[in-house]
Amino acid sequence: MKRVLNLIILILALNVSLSAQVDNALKKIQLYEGSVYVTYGHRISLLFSELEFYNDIAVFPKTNIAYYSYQQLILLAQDTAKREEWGQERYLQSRNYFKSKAKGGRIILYVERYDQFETNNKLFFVIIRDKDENKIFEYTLPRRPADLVSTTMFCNWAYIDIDIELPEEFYVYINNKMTERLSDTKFLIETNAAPVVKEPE
Amino acid sequence: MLDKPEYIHNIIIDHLSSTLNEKDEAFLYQWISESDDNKKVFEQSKEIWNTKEIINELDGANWDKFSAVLKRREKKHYRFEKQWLAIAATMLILVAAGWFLHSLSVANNTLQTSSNDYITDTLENGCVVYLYPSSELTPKNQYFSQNKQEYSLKGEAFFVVPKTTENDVVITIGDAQIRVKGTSFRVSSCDKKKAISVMVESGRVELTKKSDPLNQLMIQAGEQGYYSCTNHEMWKQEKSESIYLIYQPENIKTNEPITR
Repeated sequence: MKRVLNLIILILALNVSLSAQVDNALKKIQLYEGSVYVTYGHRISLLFSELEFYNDIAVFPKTNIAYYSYQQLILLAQDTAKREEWGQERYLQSRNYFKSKAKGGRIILYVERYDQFETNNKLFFVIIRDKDENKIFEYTLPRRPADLVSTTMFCNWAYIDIDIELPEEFYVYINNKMTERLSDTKFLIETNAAPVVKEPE
Repeated sequence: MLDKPEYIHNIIIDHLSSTLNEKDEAFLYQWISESDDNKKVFEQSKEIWNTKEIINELDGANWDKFSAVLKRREKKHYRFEKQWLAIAATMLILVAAGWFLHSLSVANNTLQTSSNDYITDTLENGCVVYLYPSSELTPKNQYFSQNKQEYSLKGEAFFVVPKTTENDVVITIGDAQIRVKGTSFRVSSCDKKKAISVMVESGRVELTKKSDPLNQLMIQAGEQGYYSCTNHEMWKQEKSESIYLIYQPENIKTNEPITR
């Protein structure tokens, strides 16, 4: 029981302290089909995005992702441990957590929608495929109610830790269960475009 | 039958010695009126004819001597004209060839964006470049560069230079020069800080002053280097942005709403 509690506290602590939830730049960035952007050194291309209709007018729904590699997560934990003066045990726990739960890195998801219900995380699921479109990872997000952005706009965010090693280039599909479409948004992440030089300790 | 210059020269002599018939006289006047050069040849002949010494000596074999003088003058005139034509033609060919090579090597490879456009392209050496709006990337003359590939940048761009690139890639921006191999980074011209900025995402980048290549600043991944446009100093710090756009598609410019 104590171990479970420790793990819950650790996960919460990592989520809060490693990053202020979601980078403001990720919230602000407006992507369209074909947009290319850089997050934490990795090149991400939005290959397609289905339109959302609001009052019968099509809008590009904001579905933005960022990516941290495993090495970057470890470096981030080291920096945070130093800054917040973590003890050895806490640092090792976080390191072991990443080793077992995020060896493929972490995807940070930020969405904005006009419908409050459709913005609940439980309606989203993530699929990762390799360059040959073979499925290598799938994850359904747990329930998390939407936050309010403005009087008509809702948002949500999530960390998706990938527990398997990923190739240097891979596709990320962010899908919503409420849509009739097979797939809503497709990204290409190219980690080899910006390989990490600094080796984790 | 005599060729034309020979014939002309004979009738000039006949004219000057007043032995020319009416038909040839008319032909001579016609020939003189055809061009300034012909007129000049005739005037020179007349001048020589009127020279007292020559007139006095014009007996027998001296006719031939006078005739030879005239011929030489005429030939010299034609030769002179031909030389100039050859020089002009050579110059023209050289200029045309130079322009053709220049346009092949530079103009056709220049990437340029307007105030709204982004461009992405893969260069010959495998580098991927994302050019921001109002920017220009021009390859420099490759024929005189060894072990490096040089480009000149105005504006802002993101580069992905693969490790497999054979030669160093050198980018000149203002007074600064950037030398890279196996890296990705973003470069922008003098900004609000009045400095050229180099934000490195992977690998490392060597920033130097163009006029003083020994003065170098090594910028590592996660760092941002600056080159002052005013006092030419260089410094670096942690990079200011983690998430930023490098390319937006063209079709977003159409603001017309799509209805259901």
